[in-house]
Amino acid sequence: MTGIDKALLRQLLSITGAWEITDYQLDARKQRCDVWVGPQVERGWFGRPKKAPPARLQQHTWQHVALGPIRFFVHLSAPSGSELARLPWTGDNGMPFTHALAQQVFVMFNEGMSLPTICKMMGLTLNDVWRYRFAIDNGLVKSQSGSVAAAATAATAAAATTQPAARPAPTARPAVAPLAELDDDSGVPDVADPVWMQLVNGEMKLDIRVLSLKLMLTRVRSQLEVISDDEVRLLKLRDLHRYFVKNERVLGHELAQLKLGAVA
Amino acid sequence: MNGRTLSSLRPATGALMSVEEAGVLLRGGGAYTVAGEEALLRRLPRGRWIGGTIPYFMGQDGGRTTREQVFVTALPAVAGEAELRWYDADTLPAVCTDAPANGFSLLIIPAFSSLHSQFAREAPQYEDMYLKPLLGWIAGIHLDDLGRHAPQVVNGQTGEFDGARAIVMHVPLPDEQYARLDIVNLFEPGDGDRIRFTEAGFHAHECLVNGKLVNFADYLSTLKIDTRLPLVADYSGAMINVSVKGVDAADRRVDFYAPVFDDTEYRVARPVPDFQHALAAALPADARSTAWSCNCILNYLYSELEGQRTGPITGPMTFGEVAYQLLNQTMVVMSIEQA
Repeated sequence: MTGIDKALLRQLLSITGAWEITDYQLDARKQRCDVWVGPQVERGWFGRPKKAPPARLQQHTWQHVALGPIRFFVHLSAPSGSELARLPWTGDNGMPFTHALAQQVFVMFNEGMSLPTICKMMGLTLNDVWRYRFAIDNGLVKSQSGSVAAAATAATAAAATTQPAARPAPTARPAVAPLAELDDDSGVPDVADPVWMQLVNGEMKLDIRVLSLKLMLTRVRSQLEVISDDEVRLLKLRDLHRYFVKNERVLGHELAQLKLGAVA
Repeated sequence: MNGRTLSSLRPATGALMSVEEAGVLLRGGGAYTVAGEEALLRRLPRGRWIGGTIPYFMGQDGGRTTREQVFVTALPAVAGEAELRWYDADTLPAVCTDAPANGFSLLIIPAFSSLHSQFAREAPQYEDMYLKPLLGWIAGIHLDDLGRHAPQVVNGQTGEFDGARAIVMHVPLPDEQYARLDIVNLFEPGDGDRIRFTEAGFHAHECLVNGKLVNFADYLSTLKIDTRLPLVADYSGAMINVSVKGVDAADRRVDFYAPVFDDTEYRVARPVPDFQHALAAALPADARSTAWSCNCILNYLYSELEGQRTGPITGPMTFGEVAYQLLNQTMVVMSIEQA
């Protein structure tokens, strides 16, 4: 097995605070490194751990940001009730990714990238990306914004030099429509137009003839009822905007009403 | 007799025919969906078709249960080659992203499979859901065979059958055409109580009736509600049904054919007198241009459609309909429009 200095590994994965790497296993053939992390143990003479009362530990596993071609998986044993303070190398309970990796995936969602494309670029499984997407769509987890975003950015910056060039750097900027959606000739109001929120919150009523729009609008309204995170709410509005762009030619009746609202 | 002549004599949404006639069609080129008993589907030649088991149909001569014929629908001429693909629990969430940029995707899922349940619960959340037309049905079996046989779907290109995975045909269309997917649902919310469920799922114990927590099985029993009437929710103007499968009095539990959701308000449907004529009247004015359709076995059974016609539209009577998401007691219709 290839040896790695644990202190270096701790630095690369941005593991901070009272946590230490207890073990790791690098499988060069599978390009996978599993890292076991636990609470830092107080040590006595000659580095021997002092005896501590046995604590009940909860086990978590998350996929972390890759370093070059190597995918990292963090296995954390944390005492029950530990405050992980949304550390970038930890993740939400039951979620597949650390906050740092989730931040990267969320940025890709915001860029309008498809799940298969994200999987391909990031070396993630469709099932895991789908689980994360499902959780944010249902308000079960928040986007990695604010301080966590900054921390995650710092964490991923360390890895950036060894990552594939095609991978976009994570940022905490608000959602911006991809260039394809900013066509001046489009009959669809700009994604930043307040008309989208008016439509979703019911201030604007449309006579809807198209089945897919009825279902889409119901889904977005339902999602926004449980999503409090501003970035995720923006993502949902972008989804609705993308739906209109994609289906512009079947939505003439609805777009005519929408544009009246946008002008007003 | 060639396939073109056969298809020109029959409704655009398909027709019942013998295995031999179907063989002629399937060998003649084009893309098709086929419904019928498993033994019949196994006798069909390889070709660009997908199929699923079911013996109930709205045929060209009216509603019919048959183990002797198969129902074949010729899909519209396509811009490129239709792609047939299997989906399992891991890959089904990507079914819409795999769909052509312009076209439609036809999906058949075997009833009672875990994939059936997964699709019912999660489809509204799939990526690109509602952006591209996704339609189809849930394969079933003759009700006499319940517990003895399992529904199957088939990839006509390989002859492979499966009772756990879904088969999908992704059909691209030329730029000047697009698919319009719609539903015909005669049920509307009645004037009764507002019902919300405390948990999403295929069964319910408790629910909130006008905001008051009650046991739903007790509620249905006390009010002597006709459980052939679905629960109906208003999705921004689209009426979406959830049909009652049964009431377990001992467990005080109600089972459904599709999941109820905890963020949706339901009402018991208003009864529909003379379903057959009401359905014919509710069909779109351009019903004859419908290219593909299916309807629900519960409509077939509850409304006694055997031997009855429902306008010009034909199709299999299935264990569940798909118009983007899983539906109950609803007719699905797709037409091809000129841009």
